[in-house]
Amino acid sequence: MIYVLAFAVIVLLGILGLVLKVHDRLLREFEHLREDRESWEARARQKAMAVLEEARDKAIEILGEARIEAESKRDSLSRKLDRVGERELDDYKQVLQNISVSIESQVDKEMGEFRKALESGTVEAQKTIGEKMESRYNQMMAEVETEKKRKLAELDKKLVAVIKETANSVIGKTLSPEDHLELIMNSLEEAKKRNVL
Amino acid sequence: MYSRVLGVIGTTEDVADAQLAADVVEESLFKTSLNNYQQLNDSAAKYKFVKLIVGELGDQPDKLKWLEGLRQELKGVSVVRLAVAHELTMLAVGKVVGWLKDNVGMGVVVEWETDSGLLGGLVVTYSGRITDLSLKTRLAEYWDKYDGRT
Repeated sequence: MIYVLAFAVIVLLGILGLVLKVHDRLLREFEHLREDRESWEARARQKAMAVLEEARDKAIEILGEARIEAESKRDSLSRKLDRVGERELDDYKQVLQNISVSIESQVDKEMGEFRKALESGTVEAQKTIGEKMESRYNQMMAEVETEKKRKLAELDKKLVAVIKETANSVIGKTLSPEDHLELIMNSLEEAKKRNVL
Repeated sequence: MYSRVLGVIGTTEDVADAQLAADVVEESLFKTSLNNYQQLNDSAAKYKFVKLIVGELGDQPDKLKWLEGLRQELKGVSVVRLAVAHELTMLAVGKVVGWLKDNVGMGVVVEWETDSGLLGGLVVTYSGRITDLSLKTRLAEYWDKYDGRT
């Protein structure tokens, strides 16, 4: 039994030794792989850096070129725009001038018509006003004349009344007692003739 | 019969005075003296009629009857109302009354009225008729004609 056990132990030890050996080899391989990976990574990093630098330089270069191109394009565009602008401005000026001339012509025409209409209307209005004023004036003059006649007639009437009253008073007062008696006697004679008495 | 008395009466005042005088004379017939004439207050006008009535009464056989007849005559007088512009003098009044007695009748008397607005002439009212013969109306008629011409 012991032998068996010893054998077993020996076997196990052998297996253990084998495992350890395999383990050691695997460790070495792993270490080697790790070193390779680091080396590869370093190289890859180095390469990537190089690529990046190259790419950056290229980009800078491209950017420079693009800037130059852009400036060139911008100048060109600006010049083109200036030309177009000048042309458009000239066209605009021309259009404006045309419009101005057209408007001026239209305005002149309309103003002429308006002036004619206004003159015609003014003349008509003046004529109408003149007629109305003349009519009103004639009416007022007629009223004034009528009022004048009425006032004069009234005045004449009053004057005649005053004259009559004055005349009556004067005649009455200037009669002597003899005249009064004569008047009375004549009146009595007249009364007799009329068969009043 | 009463012509002497009526001939003197010219106005309605005279009629009143004459009536009073007749009353006084009648009363005196039954008294011893004529002293009661004093009640006439020495009015010259009234006394004039008393003297006139007494003078006329002396010849009358029935004095009371005569006085009654006089009163009736006085009541029956005709009144002519004359409106004049101014009060007339006694002379003028006498002339107007005389004219009326001669032309209208002895039994007519005047009732005077004064209206200065008449200016002259007179307005006669007699027997219910009014006749305007004043200067005022004559002038008015003249002015009407004058207005018609103008």
